[in-house]
Amino acid sequence: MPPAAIELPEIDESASAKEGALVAWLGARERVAIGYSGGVDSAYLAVLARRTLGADSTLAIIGRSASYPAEQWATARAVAHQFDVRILELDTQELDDPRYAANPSNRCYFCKTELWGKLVPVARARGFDVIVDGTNADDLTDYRPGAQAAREHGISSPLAELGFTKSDIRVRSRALGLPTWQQPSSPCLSSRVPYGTSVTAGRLQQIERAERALRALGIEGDLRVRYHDELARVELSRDALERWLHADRACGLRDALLDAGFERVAIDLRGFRSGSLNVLHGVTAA
Amino acid sequence: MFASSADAESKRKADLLAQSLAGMGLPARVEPRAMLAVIQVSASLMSRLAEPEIRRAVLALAREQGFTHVAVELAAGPADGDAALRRP
Repeated sequence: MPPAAIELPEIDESASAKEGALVAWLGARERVAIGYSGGVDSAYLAVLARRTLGADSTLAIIGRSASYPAEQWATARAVAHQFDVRILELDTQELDDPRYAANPSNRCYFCKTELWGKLVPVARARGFDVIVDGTNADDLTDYRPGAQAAREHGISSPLAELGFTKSDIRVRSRALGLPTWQQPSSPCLSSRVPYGTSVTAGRLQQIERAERALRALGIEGDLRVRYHDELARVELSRDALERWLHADRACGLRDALLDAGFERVAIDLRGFRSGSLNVLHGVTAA
Repeated sequence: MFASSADAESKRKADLLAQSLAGMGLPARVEPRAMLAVIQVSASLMSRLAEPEIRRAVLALAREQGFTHVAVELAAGPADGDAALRRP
């Protein structure tokens, strides 16, 4: 994953104090299973649990599906290998659920219901009664219908509970030597499809090809290819936006996305924003 | 097929945005797609959109017409991009 331009404080006593509280929280549990994607949050949580509880008492569980980017999967495996975190991989079939595939605004609820519905029994069968996810305190301010499914399945969110912001997690990840500390946020591929437009494996593959093509052009930091039928709407970081809004360079970007299967390509003038499609559909404020 | 009133309203807002953009020296075609405005400008004008203050102005004008998102379409090449703008 290319490095993003992320500025963090060199020393953050607040984040260190939160990490102390997290170590105590984990230490009070004998064994912990983590819903693990290899993203910034769950990677940090898995590595800290491994350090606190040991290899036999920590299990990171990956839910694989068409909405999970292959690059993210590779990162998840690499981080687990580097830090000696045991992983278990499960296939999830959220795309087979018509309630998910129809892509309502609470789509994430059906995805997480499928994920936790499979993960929890598997974890418990292996003696892991405490199951956690990487939800952080910043996530609580966004529209996250998946959180309801987590609650229904008894999932704990210690990072959110202890007040960890994304910045805190990046600071402590860097201190622990995790390569994910400067990794861009990486929500599932379905988040690129506007609500009401059905989610299919083909569309997710098209989006994944498109984003991989943009990375291959050297675009770093946060980026999203939003799916609008024949049109790809590209959201870039501010620096990348200003670099690529020139006709000569834009041609290369356009060609890359046409090769990925889109017929038209447009660059969003506001650039990357998390939850952009929530705004477009009036789910959250602009 | 007759255009719905929603279509007509959407087109009216797109036309108003196009007029505003022309007023700031940025002639463009505007395609409304719900709350997204897809604009097409000539290749020679695209680099103006790399300037933050120009982008802020475009986004503010779009918001006045109810668009939450504005995206500039990338044309096949400089010649094609200009040709697209000349189409009626």
